[in-house]
Amino acid sequence: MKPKISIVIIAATLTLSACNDYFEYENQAFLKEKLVFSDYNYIKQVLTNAYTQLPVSFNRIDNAVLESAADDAEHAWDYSRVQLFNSGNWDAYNNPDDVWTRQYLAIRRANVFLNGTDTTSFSEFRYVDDITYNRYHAELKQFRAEATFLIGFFYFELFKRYGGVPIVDSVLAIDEDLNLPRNSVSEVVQFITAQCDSAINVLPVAYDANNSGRATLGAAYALKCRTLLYAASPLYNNGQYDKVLCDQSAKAAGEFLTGSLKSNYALEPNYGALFTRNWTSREMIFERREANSNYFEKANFPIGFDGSGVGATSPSQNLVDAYEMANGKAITDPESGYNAADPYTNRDPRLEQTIIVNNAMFGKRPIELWTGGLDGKGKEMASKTGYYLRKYQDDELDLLQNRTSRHTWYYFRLGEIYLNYAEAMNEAYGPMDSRYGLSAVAAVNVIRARAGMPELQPEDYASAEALRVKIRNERRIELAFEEHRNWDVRRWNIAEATLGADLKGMDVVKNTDGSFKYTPYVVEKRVFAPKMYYYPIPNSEILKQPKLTQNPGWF
Amino acid sequence: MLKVMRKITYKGKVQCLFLILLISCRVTTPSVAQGDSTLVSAEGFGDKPVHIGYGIQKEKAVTGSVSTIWSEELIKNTVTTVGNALYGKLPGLLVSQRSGEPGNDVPSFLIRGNVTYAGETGPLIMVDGFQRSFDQLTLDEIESISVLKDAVSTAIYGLRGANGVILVTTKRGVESRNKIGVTLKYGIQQPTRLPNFIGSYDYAQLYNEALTGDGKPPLYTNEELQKYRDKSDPGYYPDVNWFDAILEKSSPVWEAGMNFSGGNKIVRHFVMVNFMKNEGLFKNTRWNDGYSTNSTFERLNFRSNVDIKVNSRLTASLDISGRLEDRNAPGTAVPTIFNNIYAYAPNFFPVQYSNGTFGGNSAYQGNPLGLVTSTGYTALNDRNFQSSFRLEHTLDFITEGLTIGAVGAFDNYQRSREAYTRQFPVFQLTKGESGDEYQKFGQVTPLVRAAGYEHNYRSNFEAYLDYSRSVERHEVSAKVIYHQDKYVTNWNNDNNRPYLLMGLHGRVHYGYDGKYFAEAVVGYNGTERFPKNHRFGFFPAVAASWIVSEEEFLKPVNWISWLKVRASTGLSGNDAIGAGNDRNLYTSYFINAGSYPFGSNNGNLTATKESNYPNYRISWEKGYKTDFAVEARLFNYLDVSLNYFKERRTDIVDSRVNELPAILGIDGGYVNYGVVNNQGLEATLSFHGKVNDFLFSAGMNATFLKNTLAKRIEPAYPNAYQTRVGHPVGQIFGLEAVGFFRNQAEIDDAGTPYHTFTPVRPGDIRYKDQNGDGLIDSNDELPIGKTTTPSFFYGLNLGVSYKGLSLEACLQGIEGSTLLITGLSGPMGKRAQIADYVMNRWTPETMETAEFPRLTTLDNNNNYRTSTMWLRSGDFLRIRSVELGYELPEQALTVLKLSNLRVFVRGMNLVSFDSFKKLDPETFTGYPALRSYSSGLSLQF
Repeated sequence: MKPKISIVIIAATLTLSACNDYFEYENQAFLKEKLVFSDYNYIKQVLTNAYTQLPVSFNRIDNAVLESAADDAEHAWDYSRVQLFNSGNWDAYNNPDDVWTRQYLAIRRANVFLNGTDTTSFSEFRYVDDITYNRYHAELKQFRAEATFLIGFFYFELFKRYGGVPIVDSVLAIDEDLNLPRNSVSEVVQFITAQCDSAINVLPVAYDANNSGRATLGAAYALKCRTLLYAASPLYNNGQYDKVLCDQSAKAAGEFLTGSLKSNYALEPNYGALFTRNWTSREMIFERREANSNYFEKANFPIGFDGSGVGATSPSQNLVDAYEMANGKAITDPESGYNAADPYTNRDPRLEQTIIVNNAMFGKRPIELWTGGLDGKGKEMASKTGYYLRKYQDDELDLLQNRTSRHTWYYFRLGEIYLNYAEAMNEAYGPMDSRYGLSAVAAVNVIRARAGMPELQPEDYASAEALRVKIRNERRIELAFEEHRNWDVRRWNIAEATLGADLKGMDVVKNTDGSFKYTPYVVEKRVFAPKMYYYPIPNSEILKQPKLTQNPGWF
Repeated sequence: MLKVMRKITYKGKVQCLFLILLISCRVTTPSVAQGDSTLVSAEGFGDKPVHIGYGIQKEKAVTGSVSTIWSEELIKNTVTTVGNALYGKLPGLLVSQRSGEPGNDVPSFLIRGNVTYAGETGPLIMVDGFQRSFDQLTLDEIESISVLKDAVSTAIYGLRGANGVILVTTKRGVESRNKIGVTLKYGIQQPTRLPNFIGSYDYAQLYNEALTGDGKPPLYTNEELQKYRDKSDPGYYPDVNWFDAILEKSSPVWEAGMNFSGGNKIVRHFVMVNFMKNEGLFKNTRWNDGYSTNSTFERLNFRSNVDIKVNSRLTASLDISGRLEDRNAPGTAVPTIFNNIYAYAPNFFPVQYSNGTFGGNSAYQGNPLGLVTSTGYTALNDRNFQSSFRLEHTLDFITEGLTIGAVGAFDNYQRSREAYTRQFPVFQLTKGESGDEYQKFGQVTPLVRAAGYEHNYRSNFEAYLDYSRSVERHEVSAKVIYHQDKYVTNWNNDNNRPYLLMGLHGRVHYGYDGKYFAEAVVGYNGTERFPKNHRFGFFPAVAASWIVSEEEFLKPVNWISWLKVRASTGLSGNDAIGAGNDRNLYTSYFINAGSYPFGSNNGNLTATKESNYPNYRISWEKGYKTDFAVEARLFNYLDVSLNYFKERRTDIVDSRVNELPAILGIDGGYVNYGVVNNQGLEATLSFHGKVNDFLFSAGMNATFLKNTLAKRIEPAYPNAYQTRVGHPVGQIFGLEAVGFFRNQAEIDDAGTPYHTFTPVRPGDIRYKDQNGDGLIDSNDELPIGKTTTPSFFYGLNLGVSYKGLSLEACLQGIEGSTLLITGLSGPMGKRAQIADYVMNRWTPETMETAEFPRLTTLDNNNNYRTSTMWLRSGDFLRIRSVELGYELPEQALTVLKLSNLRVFVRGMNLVSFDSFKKLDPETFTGYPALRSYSSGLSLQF
């Protein structure tokens, strides 16, 4: 009897061990690494994954644009995390724009691609289909250059926030020594420019219709140009410009303006047409071609429009005042003809192409920014400054019907290159030196001419210092809301006077006769401490990686 | 026990109840001494069969820690989900109430505390031997619910047993005449306690105060404030209580059931059908033609458990049960509706204008009443079917007491989801040039249908060999079980691997002379969650018990009628190791993730990324458990038991995020690392007495827990007090508030630590600088308060009856838990509701008595962070049920030709005694928790 029991037990045990197959169900969505890096389409997808890590800059922080943390705007919702910057309420534990983890993740994604494709051979096509074989190899070379460029781009995102950061140029494993120290600013800058240089030799000048949006030769030059200009700036050079770096930056910019790429790019004739429903402009150098959407409009449409109300960007009086009169004079110039009672007439055309001022048309109606007006003070989530943002917004969208349209975010466009060039040339060689075929003044004038503004007057470029003021203001106007201001004022060492200045708005009252009374007022006292020139490295990272040193002033 | 007494007596609110218990003891002692019979006689004590894992044991032979509640007690509840009948009933089992929404009111269960910080903490739930949910069974069909707690009772479940097991057994027929039972219940229910929000006048005034404190101009003029105060212009200056606007005062719930049971030598049956309808509290849900938008739950349960003795050796059992569950809800998810109630300031806009349109504006279009009434409805229709077929054959021709058996079980779960949703417009009242104008936002859209379908099934197979025999003084029983379980979710999706379990389990039980018992149990099983070569785990446990009162030397001691000691030790596991995608932690792969737009059409190209770092040796949590217990009946009327338990839970899965720097660029995967030590004491005390025709009973059970995190991956904290290790799982960490800044001078004082979170102003919270570095930052965070789960919980069950009349009550309480109340306290810039308790905020005038910091509109990182300022005790004592019942006397029954008739009135969840008083201590947000009043009858032919 006993043996029979044991037989049953043994039989059951055998069944059990034989039944390990019982557990073998494959998840079809899980792909083996070996397969992924031997297959052309999967390889392309892995690279695409690195692209997905590029910043989504519309509504970057909690539905707010980055400029709401600068002197160009205020955000309508008090509780948005972007406000932490304005009240000085951010630190190494709580930083609404902390990208440390995200960027290193992005860098790894690109490195995984480079590492995985090191051994890709497409050998199954060899001798069988040499045409495909050769095409795949050529494309792989280009893909690898794209990944190299992206790594440079991701490091630039780190550099402009934190300064020097650890350089990781391989796929790290968990058992490696991960306690890496920070590299210096110049090492990081050299690393980024080296990435650009290696990509420049391979990347094509342009892509076919299916592949536009990929990194081009121009994108690599543009990244190199901007990186060098930043590195040349006073913040990193004891308050002075580094003329050598300026020269290198100008040279990179020169490729677009007078050099090899001159015929590939052109300024969009109409500044206003650049930002809405435009995905074909020849001004684009590197861009994110977003699929149809309306989330930016939902946040930024004036509050009286149905479907808006997430919390609008409210451009500041500080920015509005920076726009010149149409005659090219600053509004502070007594001869400018500025009329404080009629502040928006005869201004730089870019003012109304960028900002919705009171009674300006938007969609099918004028915007009522006066107190009690449809879009004005007294409404929940109405503008706090008396202005709404126009740039990038498609005012033809019916949000109630949830209509969407294409949006294009410019990481680099030709307009910036002109201004990079002007700044770099002016700082390296002065206003009128045209050793690379164009002077700083001439470069600025190209931008002004496109906007419909008169050329600079001789007193504007009497000295490099005088021109510096003009170039910086031109940059603020031309590139407003394109994620430059926050970094420009830092690298120029003028953040206390700008990011720390009172943020002003315009109080608008409608008189009984239908005219308006305009009174500027202080919307918010801003807090900026010197430590804020650099972002703090997240405290949690310093705890795990003790060799990281915190930026000065942060705890 | 002394500890129990001390603990209880110093807690004032429990004191009186304990007194009642003591008094009742005293009253009845003489009568017992006079030899009156007590409720339960010692005769046959311990012979009651108790369900344990894969078997049944007589109560006295049980060596493990098992607590059981029987049908008679369960049916004295009016609940719509079984779990809500278990508050305070079973030692070691903590039931925590959640939302009261019809059909979504399932509470959470925790057996002997939180023993893991990463994995699932909930117990394994088995209904009639297979893993199934018991939430939507009816009380009428349940015979017993056992809670298995220690090693010897859970090891047989192997890597699913460590969190304890709730074993539900349904009723079966017994050999008797055919009986017919009928139950009817009707009740009404209402919210227990809703938060009290401040009204518009206070809100506007406080908002101005907050703005002033932030250095900004006030928003509301005095004229406007006056209008909020006198409520003369509700169109422009409303004062809304959203709870009143959308919730009825009460809603009905009712249930009707019928069952048939009985059997003869060949066939035994239990057949029942039960219908329940639970209506939600929403108002105005009949505004739409043809459909309701209320949250409603209708459930039809049926069951047929049949046993057939095919011949002298073969028994066949067929169990079939099913449920139709129909849930109806507003077209907008109920949590969203309540979120909006919490998020909309009382002065935004009226609920409705005088013309009947909904209030709202561009930024706030989700008018809660509109969401309830005018966004259509969602219907969830569940059709669940469960079955099992068992064959059991005695092998007495081989040897006496040997049986072989097999069971197949198949459960099918189907849910269709049908939503008919639409939108509605809101209107903003503005003063236009020609008087009042209503600006419209949104529009009426036609109902749009969206449907979905879900099909899950579970199939089980089990085969076993059972041997049970007693020879002279020896009793031996042994069982070997092979079991496999396959659970498939979303059947038609290739990427969903089924959940698989396979195992071989066994138990040997030996008893000698009815006094000494020993047991050994082995669980050996594996699941698909682990890598091939490390898939199966071996879980052994042993136990012994000794019935001391059966020994000759105790026989003369009259006042001890029963005394048993037992001990067990062993291992069980937890395969629900947490960490998100915990079924795939051992695999390394690439997977589609996101897309990026390329090309002139801005078309998206699919992206593929690497998975997280795999761990090729990932394993289950291991629970090493040891129990010691003593159970006694004293003086023939007092039952006491004490059970000490301890568990060391190891291999808790930890993320490496806290140790690997972000420059790695990827989540560093997971490792089996953490350790939690848990120990505690369960005590029960119950008493039955009789004075003349009065019968008394009082029972108390209490569970004490002490739980320590012994090991986990932590960041390298600079100060020792920051480490989580050494504290209970779920310990709250935060800053120690030491009052408020009185003035700027105090802030600027050189001796004041620098508060780094934000530039502080007078009225902001001042914190203690724990490490003395002159800075207040996260490094000053230390353990504050207690944990969110209690360290002590108890139940009190009291009863008294006189002839047919009975009065019973069940009370349940928890101690040693902490609530965080930051949520409803601001900042006001959120424009959300503010609870009335913040009225006691800091102002220059009230700085001496203020309880909360100054109000602000900003996201003030200094004030609104976890600190002692926002902690409140989460302790409570709740009256979970009170029932007055009357059973008809026999003479009357004979006249009515009934064998039993009982009528009752009952209150559930009646009162909560707690110190916070402002919110329901268990359910702060979302659909409120409910109390109910019901009456009903049960009769039997």
